[in-house]
Amino acid sequence: MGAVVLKNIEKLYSDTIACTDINLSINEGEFFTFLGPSGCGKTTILRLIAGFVQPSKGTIHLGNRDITNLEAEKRQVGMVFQNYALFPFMTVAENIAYGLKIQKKSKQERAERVEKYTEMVGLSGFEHRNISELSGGEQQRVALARSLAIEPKVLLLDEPLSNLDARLRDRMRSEIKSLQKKLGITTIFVTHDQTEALTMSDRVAIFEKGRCIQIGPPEEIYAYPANSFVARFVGDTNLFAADIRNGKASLSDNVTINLETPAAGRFVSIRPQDIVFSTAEDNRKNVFPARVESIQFDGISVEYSVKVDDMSFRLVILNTSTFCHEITVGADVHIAIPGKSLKILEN
Amino acid sequence: MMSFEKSQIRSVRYTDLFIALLLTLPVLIFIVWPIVEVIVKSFLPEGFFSLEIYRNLFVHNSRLIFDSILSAILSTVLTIIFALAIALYVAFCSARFKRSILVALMLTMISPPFVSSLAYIMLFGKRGYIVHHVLGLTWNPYGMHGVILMQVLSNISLAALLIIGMFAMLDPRTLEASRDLGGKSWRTLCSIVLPLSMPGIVAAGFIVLIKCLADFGTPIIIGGRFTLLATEAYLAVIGRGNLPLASAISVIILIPSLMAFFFYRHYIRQTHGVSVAMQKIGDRGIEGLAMGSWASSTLGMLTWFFLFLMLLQYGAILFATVFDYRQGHFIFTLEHIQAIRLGKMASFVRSLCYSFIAAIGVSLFGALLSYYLESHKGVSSKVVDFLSTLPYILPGPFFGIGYILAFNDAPLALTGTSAIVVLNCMFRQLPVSTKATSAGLTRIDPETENAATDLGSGRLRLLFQIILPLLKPAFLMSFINTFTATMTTVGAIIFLITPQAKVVTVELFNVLRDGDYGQGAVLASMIIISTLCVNLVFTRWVIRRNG
Repeated sequence: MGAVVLKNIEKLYSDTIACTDINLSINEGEFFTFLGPSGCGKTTILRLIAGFVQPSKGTIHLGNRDITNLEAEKRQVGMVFQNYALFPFMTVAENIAYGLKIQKKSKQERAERVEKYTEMVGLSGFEHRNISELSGGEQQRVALARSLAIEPKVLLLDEPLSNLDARLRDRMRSEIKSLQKKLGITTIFVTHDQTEALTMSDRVAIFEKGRCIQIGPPEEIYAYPANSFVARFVGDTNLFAADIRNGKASLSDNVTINLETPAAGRFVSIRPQDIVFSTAEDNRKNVFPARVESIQFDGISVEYSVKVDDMSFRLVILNTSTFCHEITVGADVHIAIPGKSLKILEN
Repeated sequence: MMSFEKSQIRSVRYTDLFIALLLTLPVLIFIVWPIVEVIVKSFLPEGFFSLEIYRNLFVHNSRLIFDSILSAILSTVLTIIFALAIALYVAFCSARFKRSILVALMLTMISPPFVSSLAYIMLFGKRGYIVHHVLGLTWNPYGMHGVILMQVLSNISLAALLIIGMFAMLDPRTLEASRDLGGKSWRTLCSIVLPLSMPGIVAAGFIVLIKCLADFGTPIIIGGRFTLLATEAYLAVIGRGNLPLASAISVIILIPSLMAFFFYRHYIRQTHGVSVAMQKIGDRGIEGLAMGSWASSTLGMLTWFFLFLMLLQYGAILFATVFDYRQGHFIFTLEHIQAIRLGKMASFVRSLCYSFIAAIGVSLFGALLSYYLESHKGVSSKVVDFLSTLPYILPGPFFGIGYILAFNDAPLALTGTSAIVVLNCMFRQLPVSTKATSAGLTRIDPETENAATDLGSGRLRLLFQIILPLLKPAFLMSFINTFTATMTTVGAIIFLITPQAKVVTVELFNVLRDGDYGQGAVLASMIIISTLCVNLVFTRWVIRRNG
């Protein structure tokens, strides 16, 4: 039995479905991510677990306990809000001690825990600051410490990084992850950012239109997307409708790719880094003449958009020290698409 | 070429300066000057400096000062307690009740002065229907308790609406955070909701306090032998023509108001900037909290009891327009309505005209002033902004007496004209108008203006074709507010009208002072119904225009 188990959860707002048919089992100590575009129902599910909304159908278990009808204040889950929701008229220490006061912890224990958790989030010495004196990143840390201080059974993070600038976001990403590892706390993380999901999670659940489409470790989801939505949403891809028969995938009249292993489906997904430049002399299969349409350089890699007849492909080449930049816009080139790089998708 | 550019720049500066003067001058003349006059008059009663009046007031009338402050504080505290109870109930109760309570509260905002007093005397007075007839009691409703009761009843709606507004602005996620950390509803309420809404509650208290301190009508009608500073100021002018004394009393009343005002400003500044990410999601407000059944039923009882009292109050007044209570029976009569037709109709029509002109005037002026202040941030515009806020904290009598003193002689001899009444009503409501407009302006994307300028729109064209249309909702709000306030005000203008050109609220005050409650009921009903109609028509207009 998992640490958090959702069975047949459905939530309706008057007539619109916020989420439906949700079955999840999150393991003890796992870093579990809900990933999806905005409006896909992921935050609703988090709020269902926190107890701020009641499911229309289904049950929620925390450990062995059915908490479906338990009030939010009795659930012992710690939530970090997107806007942090700190209490603006309290100091850092008072914010962190708020939940402990409610738990009727002694003054000494409160002081110890405040010290422990401010140190843990790297805010030692900030105890007596006012919230308005903190930067966004520091507020984020207070919110995290406040939730951790009550030593909850589950930590819920609602897009906690979305209000931070890019550099800070990268740093907080690894800090949160290592904190979670250290504490071994079961964590549910909601995000619409695939990088966050892929880098931080033990497992990811992908949501679309209120439904959970795929659950699995990041590598598995990236390598074997369940459908074209997942392929596009997690990582970059070249996605085409294709006619697939006899071990061949026809993307157009002139582009037919020989598959490594026969499969059935209606869509083809090819990751940009799987396609490589080639030459006319290349006598391998699946080599096509193409013209370079645009080039984007981002330091680590170079992204090319090329056209084979009317079909656009994107290629990503790692910018290693041996890489030469001789391909220019408008150049006639050849690209090779390895048959094993094709993921055949049903829908 | 160079000189051409220079002269062009200079001409822009002159236009700016001209507009600034044009907008600042009225503020100086119609707000600052009267205030200065009152203060000067109180210290220079005979043309030379003397503290005699103040000494007399503090030595011989310390009781008066004490009573005034005590009763105002008691009224304020009680009002806030009730208003808070109602606001909490509204936050917790179901959406259907919520709507009807809000509508009821807004309707009871349209209350001419003394409506509570009138109903109170009719129902609970010495010969009041409920006390005398239903309960068979004899008691004296007059005195300090009566005054406080009336002030509380007539201010609860306003205070409750202000606090409800504050609750609606709270970030629901902050409350969820509290619950998430284990805080039950009461705990969340006491340690999160109340501290967060404290600025709103303090603001409401401060507005009520000023209104109570400035209220001279209620003590005259209900106070019996119990008198207050505001009453003395009124009597000093109307009865004895003693303007220096009235000025001094007005200054004394102003002191607590000023203190409250500065306390509030300080408080706001302290808590300012803490609304870190106080974005509003929907209008869930504090609704997520579940309230214990006994608590919610207590709050509910208070709320419904208050609304019942309001119903009783308005019902009694409407009823009394056509029924007389004589020798234990109700007798149908059109006497009172006929009496109005003969004498007081002109005053009623005059009130409508004044209100309409004042409302249009101040809404336009307030919009222009606020637009100018918003687009020229600087020390001078800050000063003008502060000055234009002053009428909000001035007690009514203060503002009225100031107008008598300032506009009695040349250069601006306005005494006895309609203009002085309209101008007084206009500038008294100016703060609401500028605040509504600047709230509207902050909602306008600054790029809108730049886009218009970029497309070659000139200054005036920009103002009239781009900015003003965008400010229509604020304009209408300001219009409705000023119209309602002018229709129901008595505080300042009672000092300014002439016997030949009375307004309806003064007529109402006079008939009540003379004990003619039937006439009072008719006048009050006329004010209520006409103001209600204007409110409904314009509110509809706002709603329709905003889709």
